[in-house]
Amino acid sequence: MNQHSCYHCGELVPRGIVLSVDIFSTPRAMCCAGCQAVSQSIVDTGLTNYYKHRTQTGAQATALVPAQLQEILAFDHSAIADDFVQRGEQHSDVLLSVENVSCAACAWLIEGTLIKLDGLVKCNVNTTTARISITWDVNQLKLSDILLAIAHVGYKAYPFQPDKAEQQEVATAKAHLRKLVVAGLCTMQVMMFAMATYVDSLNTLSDELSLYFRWISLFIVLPVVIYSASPFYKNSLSAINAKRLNMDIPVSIAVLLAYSASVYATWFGVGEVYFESVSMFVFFLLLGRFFEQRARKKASQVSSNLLKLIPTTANLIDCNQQLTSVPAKTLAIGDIVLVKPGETIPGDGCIMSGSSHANEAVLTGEQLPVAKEPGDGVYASTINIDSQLTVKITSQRGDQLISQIIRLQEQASFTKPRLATIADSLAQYVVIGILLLSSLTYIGWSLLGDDHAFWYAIAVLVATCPCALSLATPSAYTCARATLSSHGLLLRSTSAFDTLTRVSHICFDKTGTLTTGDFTISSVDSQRDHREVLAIAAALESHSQHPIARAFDRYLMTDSIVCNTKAVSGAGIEGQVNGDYYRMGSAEFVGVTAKSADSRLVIYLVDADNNMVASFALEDELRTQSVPLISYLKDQGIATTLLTGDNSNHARLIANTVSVDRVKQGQTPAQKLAYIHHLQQQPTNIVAMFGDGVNDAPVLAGAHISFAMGTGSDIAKSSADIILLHDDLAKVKVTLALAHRVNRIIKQNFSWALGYNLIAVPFAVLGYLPPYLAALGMSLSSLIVVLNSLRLLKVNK
Amino acid sequence: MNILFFLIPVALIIVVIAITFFFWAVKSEQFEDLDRQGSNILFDDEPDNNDKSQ
Repeated sequence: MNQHSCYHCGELVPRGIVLSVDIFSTPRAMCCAGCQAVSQSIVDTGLTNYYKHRTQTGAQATALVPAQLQEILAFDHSAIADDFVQRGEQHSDVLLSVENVSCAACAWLIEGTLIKLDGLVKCNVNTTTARISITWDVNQLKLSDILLAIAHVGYKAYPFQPDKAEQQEVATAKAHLRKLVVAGLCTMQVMMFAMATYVDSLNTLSDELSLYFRWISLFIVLPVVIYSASPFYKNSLSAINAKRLNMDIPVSIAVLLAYSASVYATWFGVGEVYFESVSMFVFFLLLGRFFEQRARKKASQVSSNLLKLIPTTANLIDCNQQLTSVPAKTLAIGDIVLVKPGETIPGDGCIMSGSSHANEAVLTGEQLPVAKEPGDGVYASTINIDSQLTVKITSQRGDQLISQIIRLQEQASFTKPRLATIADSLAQYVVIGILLLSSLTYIGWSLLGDDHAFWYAIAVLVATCPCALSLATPSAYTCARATLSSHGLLLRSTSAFDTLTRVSHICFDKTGTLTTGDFTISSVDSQRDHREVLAIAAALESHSQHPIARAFDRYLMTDSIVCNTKAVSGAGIEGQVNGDYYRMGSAEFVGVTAKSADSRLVIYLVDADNNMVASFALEDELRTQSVPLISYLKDQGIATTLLTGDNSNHARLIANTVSVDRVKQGQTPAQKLAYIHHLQQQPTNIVAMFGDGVNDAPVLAGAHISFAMGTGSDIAKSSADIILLHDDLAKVKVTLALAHRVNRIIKQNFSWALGYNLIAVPFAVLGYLPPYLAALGMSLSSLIVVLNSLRLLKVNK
Repeated sequence: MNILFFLIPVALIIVVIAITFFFWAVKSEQFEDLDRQGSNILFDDEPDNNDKSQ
């Protein structure tokens, strides 16, 4: 074993860390206390076999911070738990999403740990969906204990919000699987009898037996026509109701007419029967849609898993000045709550006492904290940064600013413009063409006085059976979706590919999308060694709650000794580092004159005699892929707009750096949406939007197509069509290229399928196409279409 | 060939039984996690091994 990597998570063991756990009677190196604790608890519970059978290393374990512990404990509140726990008389059920479950060993480890808990009735880990379903006895065990037990073996489990799309997918998935298997088994049976008649060129089958075969086939295919093909009828009816034509209409017509004609032929003993063609046709189509649906279900499950339910609790101050922890959603107007530094503000209200700074990025997109004094308004979901506040709740939950944004998002998603896909528009011609040809064949032969006119018309219908046509798009989409997910992109809506190829205008949010949303130190100005002053600053800032302080974390040295620190709300921090006294913070706080006002935020460090030691310029760092992406889009002739809530110079600076065509800054969520709607008024403008925050959600829902960052807010992710799981903007280029390839492949599929039909039709019209050749041709052309689509799986690096 | 008149219905009854079993399997969620169950058998052997390693 490699002594330098952690036995549990595979990370390199940092120098100077000597931790180990005895596994299989050998001490194994561990990289951190978190991994050690997890590994030790795995060994102690007798689940060491995990290490023997796992196929991937575990995720690096980190100990729970108090805030996370608080969150877990909050799940025990009945008002919060009601959202996701199904209560029975004695047992409760819950479905949890769990991160980093990668193999069967993980599943076994979690189940093995949980089953040891008293009061746990049943648990099942599903590695495909990365979820655990748990049934437990509420009287003996708390949900938080279950979550803690899972955390002890190194996994993070949390309740999640099932995506609306997912609920539908899961409901239809099982029904679809049943229909598929019925069609498959019946096709096998009916083919057996069809084969016998195909090879019977010498007419050795007695008439009696051949009639018997027909009757048997009729009954075998009946469930296929009635049960398995029912989704096609349903789709065609809803399309006809909406006065549209879709691919399911020719499918339904072909199935129903071919089957009825075959029943007629069987009953009266005339003409040909097409039972096996009908059955195989339905089976192929269902198979194609099965794969598409499975990919879609998987995508919606992954996106549901991203929507973590994080409970917000509030510290309610009651009339006796006692603090009680209550779920935020139970707060009423007039309630008084205490908000500690670092906590999320539980509701819209006004400050009664205390002054602090709030991070309102979630609502406005502005990353810089906003100063809050008594009497100022604060908003739900924003974060209190540096000191304790007493807040009086002033609005109902439904009237909160964040609820208003969510409503705007819902409205926008209803009015989202939907473009007709190529498949839809081609379907119109196919339907009309097939029907015309069949009727003309019938009329033509009738006029010629041929008794077989009806059978020739049916042969045309079967020959032109749009099997390959119907498979052309689902097969291409399924493969493209798989390719996208290997790139770390999650496709939530299938029509996205079609829309993507026509995008003419892309709008970007700034904070968190084009930039990382975290402050980093962009320059240091000091007479002394930069590393030294950074270490001093980092040591001081490690005692500060301010978000800006996190920018210094990476420069922290373990050996500095800090004491007597005192943080001043929103201004700075002072204290002793290695015996010397320093003050650090804004210009006013440290008492120096601010340098020329540029767009950046500058933090000053002074010593005990008020001499300037250093100044640090901080910036919301631009993502490295932003500039190449925008210039690539320019080359493609796509217009770009920076659409941001930020009203500072920084927005203009970013806009200049990435050189977007237009800048719209200081936009509220409603203004952003209005801007997109304004662009969309021109029918040639197909607008895409990139965003991450709550404030972007309405516009993400309203754009033709939208991308959300994987680290973005839940509502942004649930509004978007595509989620960039790893926040990698470079993949947008890949997606655009793939969308064009998908378009090309679909067109090829269509031309092939139509081409085959056109070749087959003359023979059918002339009455030279026996049923078995029609069936064979249909299978072959479907196979070619599927193989062509499989080319999309090839990943172009 | 007369035997066919008897054997084919028998075959069809077997198909119906197979479909019934399949419906039951779908209902009891046996197709929900196809990746995992295959390797599950590995974990149940050598139960004493854990104790020894401690």
